[in-house]
Amino acid sequence: MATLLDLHDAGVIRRVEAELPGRAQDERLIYIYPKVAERIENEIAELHSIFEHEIDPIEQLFVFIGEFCSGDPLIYERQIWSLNNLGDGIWELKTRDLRLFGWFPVRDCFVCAAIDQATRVKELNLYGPYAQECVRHRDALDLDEPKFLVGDYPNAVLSNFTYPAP
Amino acid sequence: MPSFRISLTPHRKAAARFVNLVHRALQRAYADHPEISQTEIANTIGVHRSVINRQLRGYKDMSLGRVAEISNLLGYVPCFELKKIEEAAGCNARPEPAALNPVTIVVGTAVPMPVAQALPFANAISAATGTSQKMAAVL
Repeated sequence: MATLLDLHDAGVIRRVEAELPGRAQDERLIYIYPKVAERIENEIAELHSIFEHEIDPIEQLFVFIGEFCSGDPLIYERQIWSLNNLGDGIWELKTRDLRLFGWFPVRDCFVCAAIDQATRVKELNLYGPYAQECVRHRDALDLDEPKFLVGDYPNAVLSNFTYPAP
Repeated sequence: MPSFRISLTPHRKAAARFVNLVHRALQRAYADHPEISQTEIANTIGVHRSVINRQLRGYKDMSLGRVAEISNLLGYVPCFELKKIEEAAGCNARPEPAALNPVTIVVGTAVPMPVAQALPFANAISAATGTSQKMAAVL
């Protein structure tokens, strides 16, 4: 059985570097599968936002990773949510144009097994398939048990997840 | 295995961070004032509620003026400050000033030509310096 760090060292997953500005330190972690890294570099990096927005999807992802890893809230009261529970411990993290799918093996640590454009996920209803793909990856991962946190609400997997604080 | 880092130019990182900073500040202000609705904001500004909704959620760009309008209606004054990159960096980040690359813009085909032909006052310069130079015609 391995820890997340063992799996990172073995190349099974890669830790994402948040490049936090100033004197900020990481308070949360994100790991991604190598194929997610490939998709980000080869596909996501070439996309433009479908919305009337000057910030491209890859730039949205950069900012989102910074917010996540800095420990900032991901939910702002009154309809502004950046994450969604898909059940069976699988979570969907959101930017305007992207959707990340994965799970939390420990609090404040997200393992991303899939990433795709939001429009594609919605049009083809890929929530179920991506959730199942994440479960398959999770089951195959040589990770110490328990492999994921249970809980339907964000406070089960994240600290400081909402503004204002509950 | 090395960590994964998203590859972006420093100036695009700066743009993305700043836009997000403004959005989050407005979202916090909006969350702090449940007595003010998006409809009220929209009606006062003179746009449809959906416009304010998309702008507050970050799905639509906002002009600087719109940022100030929404801030004002939520009871705030937006402030803006420029910090030198060296001052903004801390022990966790390397300063990332954007390299300003001087660009030579050539319209059409660049043709080497004598200085006298390229610049009307070049004769005076070359006479003064005692040198003759050839340079590509640039705009």
